[in-house]
Amino acid sequence: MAVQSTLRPSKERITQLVQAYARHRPIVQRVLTAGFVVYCITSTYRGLAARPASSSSKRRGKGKDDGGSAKPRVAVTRSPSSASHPLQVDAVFYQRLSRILRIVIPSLRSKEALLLFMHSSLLIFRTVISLYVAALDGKIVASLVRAQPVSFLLNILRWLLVAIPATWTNSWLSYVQNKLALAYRTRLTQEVMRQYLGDEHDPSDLKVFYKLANLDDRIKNPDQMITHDIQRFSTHLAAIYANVAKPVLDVILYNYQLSQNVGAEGLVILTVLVQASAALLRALTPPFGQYTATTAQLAGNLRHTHSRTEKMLAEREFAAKMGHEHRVLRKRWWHGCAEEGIVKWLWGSFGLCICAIPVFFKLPGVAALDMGGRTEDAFGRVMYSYKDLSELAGYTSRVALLLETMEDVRKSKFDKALVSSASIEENAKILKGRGVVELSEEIQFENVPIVTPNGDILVKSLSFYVKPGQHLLIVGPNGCGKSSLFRILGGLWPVYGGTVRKPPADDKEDMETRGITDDDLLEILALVQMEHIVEREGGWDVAREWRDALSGGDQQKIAWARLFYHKPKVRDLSCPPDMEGMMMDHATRLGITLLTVSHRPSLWKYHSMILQYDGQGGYVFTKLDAEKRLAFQQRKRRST
Amino acid sequence: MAIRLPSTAALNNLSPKSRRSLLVAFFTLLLLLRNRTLKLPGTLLSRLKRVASRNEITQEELAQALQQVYVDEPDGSKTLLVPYQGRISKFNITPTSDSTFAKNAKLFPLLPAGQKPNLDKAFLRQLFAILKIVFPSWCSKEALILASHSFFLVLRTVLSVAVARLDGRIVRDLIRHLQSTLCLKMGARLTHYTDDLYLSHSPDLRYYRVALEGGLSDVDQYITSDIHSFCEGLAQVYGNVLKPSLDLVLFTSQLSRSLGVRGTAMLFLNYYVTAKILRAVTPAFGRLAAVEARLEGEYRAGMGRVGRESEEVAFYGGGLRERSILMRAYMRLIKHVNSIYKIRIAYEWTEDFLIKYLWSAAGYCLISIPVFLTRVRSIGIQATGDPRAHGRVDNEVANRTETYISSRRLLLSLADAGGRLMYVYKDLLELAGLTTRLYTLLSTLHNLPRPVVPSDSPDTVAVRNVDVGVPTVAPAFAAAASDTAEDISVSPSETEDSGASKTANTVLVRGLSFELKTGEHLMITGSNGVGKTAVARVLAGLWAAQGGGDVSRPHGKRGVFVVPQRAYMVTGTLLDQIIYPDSYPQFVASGRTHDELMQILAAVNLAYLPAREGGWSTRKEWRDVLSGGEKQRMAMARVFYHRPRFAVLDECTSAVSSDVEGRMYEHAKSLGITLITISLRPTLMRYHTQLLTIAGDGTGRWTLKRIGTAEERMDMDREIVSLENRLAEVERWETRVKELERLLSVQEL
Repeated sequence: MAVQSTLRPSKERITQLVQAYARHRPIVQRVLTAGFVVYCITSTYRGLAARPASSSSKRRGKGKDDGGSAKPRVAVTRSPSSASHPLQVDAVFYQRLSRILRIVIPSLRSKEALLLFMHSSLLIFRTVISLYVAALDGKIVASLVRAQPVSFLLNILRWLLVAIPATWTNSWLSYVQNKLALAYRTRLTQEVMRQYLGDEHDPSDLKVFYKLANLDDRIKNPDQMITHDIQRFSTHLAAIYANVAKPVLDVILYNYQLSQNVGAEGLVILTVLVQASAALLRALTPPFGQYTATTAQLAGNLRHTHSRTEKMLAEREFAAKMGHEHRVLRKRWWHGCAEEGIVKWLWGSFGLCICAIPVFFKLPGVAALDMGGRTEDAFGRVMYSYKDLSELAGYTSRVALLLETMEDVRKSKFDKALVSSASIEENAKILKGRGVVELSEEIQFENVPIVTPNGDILVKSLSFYVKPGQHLLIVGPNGCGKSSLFRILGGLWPVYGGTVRKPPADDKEDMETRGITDDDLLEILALVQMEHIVEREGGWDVAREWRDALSGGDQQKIAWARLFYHKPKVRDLSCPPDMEGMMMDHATRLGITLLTVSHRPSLWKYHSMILQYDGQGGYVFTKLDAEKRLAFQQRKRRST
Repeated sequence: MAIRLPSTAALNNLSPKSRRSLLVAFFTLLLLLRNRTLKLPGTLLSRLKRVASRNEITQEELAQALQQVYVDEPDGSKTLLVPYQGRISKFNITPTSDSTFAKNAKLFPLLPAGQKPNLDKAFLRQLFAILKIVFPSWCSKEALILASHSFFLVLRTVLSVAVARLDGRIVRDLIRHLQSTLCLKMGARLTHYTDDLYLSHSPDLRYYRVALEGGLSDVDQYITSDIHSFCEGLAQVYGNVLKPSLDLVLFTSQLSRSLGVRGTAMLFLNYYVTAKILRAVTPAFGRLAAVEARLEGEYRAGMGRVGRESEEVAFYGGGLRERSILMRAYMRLIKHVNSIYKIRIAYEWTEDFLIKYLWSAAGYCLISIPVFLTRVRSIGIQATGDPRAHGRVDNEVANRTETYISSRRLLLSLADAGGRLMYVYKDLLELAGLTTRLYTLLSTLHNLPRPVVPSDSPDTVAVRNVDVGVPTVAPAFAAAASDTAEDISVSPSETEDSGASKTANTVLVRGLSFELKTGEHLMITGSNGVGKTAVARVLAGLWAAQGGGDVSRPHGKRGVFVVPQRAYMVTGTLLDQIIYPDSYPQFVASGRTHDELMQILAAVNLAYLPAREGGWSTRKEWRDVLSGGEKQRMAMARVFYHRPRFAVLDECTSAVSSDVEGRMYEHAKSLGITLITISLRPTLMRYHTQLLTIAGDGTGRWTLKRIGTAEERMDMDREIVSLENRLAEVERWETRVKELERLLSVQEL
């Protein structure tokens, strides 16, 4: 860059001005540096103002600690990422990320924090080693050029020796990074599963997996989110640390050196220019985060339709995904060109110009170095990592959506498209209310409305009770709320009003702890006349896709066997199979109170109470006199 | 960041001439790019305006497009209507013809047992077989993209040789763009092909048979995930192989000029030794990748199961149990992935050491040979005491620097190229694993034994001397399946399972024969698990008839219609539910009206449904919206819509109240549908003329009886007359029924 300076100030005044400037330079410098620091602090503050003050993301905090005296400059380079785009790298993103970070890194003593520490130290170690390697490389060249065989051979030997820790660091770095991604994934999966499927330590079994699918519209395919998106998120999160930390560190170092070499003016000019072009670049950057989230969602849809083997729909989902990816690719290509132009060429020339300042103006105490090029390079890498960051934002939004929705569902806040009748004032009032669930020995419904998740009110107010030993028969036309009653009783659907009293859920212990042997199980199977199945399928411990291996009737019988195994206090049954008479007798003997839905008159005699829906929102709850009712039924059949 | 040797020195030490050309190129590019950067905001703004001004499609149009799904084109292809970001994009797809499948089947012989994914001839054969699908012809779009991709790759190498670092990111961006496009196109082609093959029409029904007869599970993992990673790997490997090998050839030839014969020979020795060592230390990445994909699939499938069966699981309160199952699957996956990473530490260490350091050390030695040799000579000259020795030494240093710089640049690029090639080796191994997985899927799909097509008989369903039994995995597939099961250290139960499925070839019903003409209704009964549904499956052609017998039934859509026990609800509108498996365009083409559908719904007592759910084009998750009985009645509505000659009803009214059930059976008979009912309810017997009872004592015995003799049927005729008489009094009876109903519900109050 040793361009000869031909530009000389021709007029006296300019010379004077420059001289005056040079005289007061220390003060000007100090003022500029102070202004710069203030600017950095304010922009950092503004970038993070939207966040709650308490949640300072750990990664950022670490970056600041590393930064030391030059810490505000992190914010300069990071502030491009604080712009607010829909689903972009913004305050919302940091908020979500910090929330997820608290899950994946629960404490400073956790395994993840240790891994992160290892990762950081390896990163630093690698930087040190690479500096040494570069120096050694220079020495080798020097000895080669000077034709000194002894020192050359020595240096080569040293080269091979230093290679061992250098490559060791590299391979361990990638291992630790992968391991970190795995650890994140495991933490997140465990947490999500605990919320999704329930927790041993959480007595209130909330059945989120059911409610998420049936009572809420926000998440279409949770399985895609839990498997794929969490995996991608963890990988990105583990990689982003290395991708961002390194260039940010470089920028700080180079900025510092530049301010030493060129002075604060150069720094300020460079910052202004870089900020301006970064703003331009930001304006041109398509919402990659949004694209990432959309792609993930479309992939989930495709998967879903595929698993249901619906051809034309799968084709359509695939076409949608294709179209989307094509569009993203095109955008990426345009964006790549623009980014290229700004980062590589524009900034490169800036760097050169800044470095040229001391050459042109011959300021005292400044040595021109090839700092500009390196600063530009580091800035460029920060810009590139911005793209990574926005992709991470996309996955973060997916994972956060899952977590937030689960949270809402746990608080029974649902977001579901309602049927038109739900907006009628009276119905709306019912929908707004919430009922109480109490634990007691018997089942009792007091003025409980039966409402489907989409706001269709089947029964406005239902009251009945079941005392232990009084079997209840539930009849009524299809679609009038028989199964809905069980869903409310089972805690699947929210209680919109009134009081529901039900016995506590049966506590499940392992088979061994209850002391039930294989023989007992065989006895239970004999009760449902399925003892032959053990032999047919080859023993107790056979694992297979039972859904396909057993016939429909056999599956129902297995369901009965489960009932006898668990001996719950109350059981609801929909549509039992044949031999039900015998099974019901056995159930009564075990002290199980049955709630049965069936159309079969042959079952009537086992029940003492009846709950009959009329299909119009009304119901009758009374004692069941099976014989009298049978007689009526027969007369009715004869008449028709 | 990889530890890179500094290369800026090379740039600084370029001759002034090349530096000038460099600067010229630099400013040209700057100029070009400035134009683009200046123009970009403008074009972007105008585009934004255009987007904003374009009318977003209305809700109705969207609903219409969602309903329509696709439009049939005259040439047999279909145009998909895809709603995307507030507008409707159109995609044209052409179904793959059966002849193509037949032609390609030859390319996909089954894998022999014990085949491990590796870089060998078998891998190449598999890859070419799949490539044949991806590139159907030389003028396909994919081939075009591939050609331009290769062109730019070559151009880049040429550029980088010509002007050092000026290949620039523009070409790189373009190459990356082309690579992604290529990956996308290949994925599309492959997915379409596999979809067409997998979701094949009857009688192939590969999606049904592949699990039972082919022994493959989690096919959706193959199609959605594996194809994607395969194409990504393939597109990447292509670029990664082509460029470094080009570089290697180019630079070696350049270097050999300056190194001489001896140096070149040593260079090649160097390559050979490195390749040997790396081959020896490389773990079986292919197999590991394949296993990882499989485990991932299992975990995925488990997760999907919880979503699908959420209600059942929730009723049982089995969330914790499911969690432990899923966590086990997850942990197995993670353990495996972790072991891969662990294996990779040692491998990467060796690789890095060899390529980055040993190669450069070797390179220095190679360069040093001529340098030190000339030094010996120059010392000899110096000994004579030349007065201008100092200037000579300077000159020597400059010369050596020049030799060093030119060789150095080449060596650096060489090390880079070699390193890439070695990385590619690992990628190739992983690709081999994925290729094997994909090939397994395709070969299994291609080689499923052709189903025995029941012979066509327009008016009868006849079964002659057929053994009904669970189909078994074909021996060829069984070998492959058990092989993959042994591959991984899974619990012994799994291998036991495959053993069990091989031996469990029990015949459920032996020597079944009956003949059913139109108008004769058959009821099949027998206790649970004796094979009633199995008979239905044989009739529907899902299971092959065993024991040398044959089945004949009317062909075509209006031949035999089976209603299964579990009512299936398709994703889509309410209308789609009734016309399933037809699609909306077919419904429109058939010229049937909504009124007709309404009548059908009335016949199954669901007339209230369109009003309750908000019209025919409501889209909901019908599986959850409709109650059990409603779903079953919907299934019956499908029978009435399609009006087949024969309908097999497999326990499909178990949740429907008996009066509605009776009405539906009568309605079906009045439409001229011959019923084959599978049920345990004796009350249904009166709608049938024949009764097939399956003994279920393990012998596979069965009895066929006529329900009602000729006299009884005469009685029936008489009864009809009397019934018709009674119809006259129907009004009086109806009032009586109402009264009785009132009594039934309120009497106990």
